[in-house]
Amino acid sequence: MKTELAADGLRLSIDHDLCSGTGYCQERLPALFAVEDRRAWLREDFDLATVGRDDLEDAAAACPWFAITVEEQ
Amino acid sequence: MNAPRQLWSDLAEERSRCPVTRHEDANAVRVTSYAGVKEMLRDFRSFSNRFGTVEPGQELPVESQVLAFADPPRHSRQRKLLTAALSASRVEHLHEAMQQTVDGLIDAIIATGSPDFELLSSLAGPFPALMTAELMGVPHELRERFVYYSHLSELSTAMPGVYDAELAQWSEMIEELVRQRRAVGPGASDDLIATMCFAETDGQRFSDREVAQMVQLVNSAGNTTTTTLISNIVYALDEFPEQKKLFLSDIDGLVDSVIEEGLRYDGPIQGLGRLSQCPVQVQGYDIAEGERVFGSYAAASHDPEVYERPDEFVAGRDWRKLPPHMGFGYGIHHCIGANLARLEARVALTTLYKRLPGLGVQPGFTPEAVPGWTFRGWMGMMLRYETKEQS
Repeated sequence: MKTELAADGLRLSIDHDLCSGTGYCQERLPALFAVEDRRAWLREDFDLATVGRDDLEDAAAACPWFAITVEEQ
Repeated sequence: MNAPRQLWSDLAEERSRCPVTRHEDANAVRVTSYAGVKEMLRDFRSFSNRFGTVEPGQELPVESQVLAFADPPRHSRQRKLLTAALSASRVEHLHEAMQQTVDGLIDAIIATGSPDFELLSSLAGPFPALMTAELMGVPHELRERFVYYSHLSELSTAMPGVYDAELAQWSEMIEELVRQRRAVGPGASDDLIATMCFAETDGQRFSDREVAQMVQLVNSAGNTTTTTLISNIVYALDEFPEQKKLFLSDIDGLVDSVIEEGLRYDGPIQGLGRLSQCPVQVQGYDIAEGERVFGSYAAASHDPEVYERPDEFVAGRDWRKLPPHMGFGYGIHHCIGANLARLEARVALTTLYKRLPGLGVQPGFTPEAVPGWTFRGWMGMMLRYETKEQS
């Protein structure tokens, strides 16, 4: 489990200082996000290229703690 | 049947008839299924917060559109500035101060020598209010007054207008704290008021009035709810003696799941309202524009589609595997004080049950429920424990 993933020039990260474990990201993209010990994590084996940027942005926007960042690298 | 049981039974009946029901007497629609409440709270564009959430009506003046009373993008701008200060990792810094405060309040209970005490006035009420004051950086000499005004502001939700003069003094006190921080400049302190004073988005700062409104909202939304969470759990544990026995056998190990179950089983907020901004559907049912729509968090958290044995308090539910309860709401307005409330409840409950042997509701005492659609709590909670003299 990670807090950062990158692929195709896109970087996705979760700030564990902010994450409060609501699990809304997991609800949107259960194949990518997993909540454990009250924090959201990124599944290691997930290939970011298999999901659209809009879906990533949508999962990030669902976080009431603004803990998820999607950015170009 | 006690008040919450009656409520859950009524809500279950309403849900099974139709999860989206118009109540002519309240001039409002009530949503009672988990899926329905979630659908409604996700759709923040159709369902607005800026008309108020307790009694949605007129659009609030702009300076009062803060946090729970605001819509994006204004809401996101304000909320972003507070999430760091109220994150799980940040509130952990208050842990020691919380423990000292609770220990002090329990010392005072023990010092009376009586086995009986009223929970809300002696601990569950002052504790969260004192911690909010600590978080805000309210000077010690002003705390008692600050906590008193905060209490009045909550009473005023039920009795509008009655305390306006005192609440104006509270606003003045807060605006003075804001002016002091502005005068000293950024970096002098890291309390929540200073954070709000100097936070900038797109080069803009909050106005003094806006900061004051946010301070008042954090108090009125955060204090009594935590008070209620603590006392509702104490009462629920007594209703389910087997669960209480289990909890007492491993207080530290079970306290977190007991708190989550408390939020689900009998959370402090029964439900909150929105004003629909367009013709919209929830669970396929039509809702007109301009309608007051209440999401019943209590009904959603008791939906048998989502939780087994919904009307039972189960201390050891595995919350890692269950869908989130609605005790803190859902979506972009998810309670911003959730981390603070969880930690306060943990410190209060573990310390109460460890330090006061045989703690429970006073035999023969029947608590009175808070009326209305918004809150779910008790007006007072008489408790008894075994003092040394008795045993």
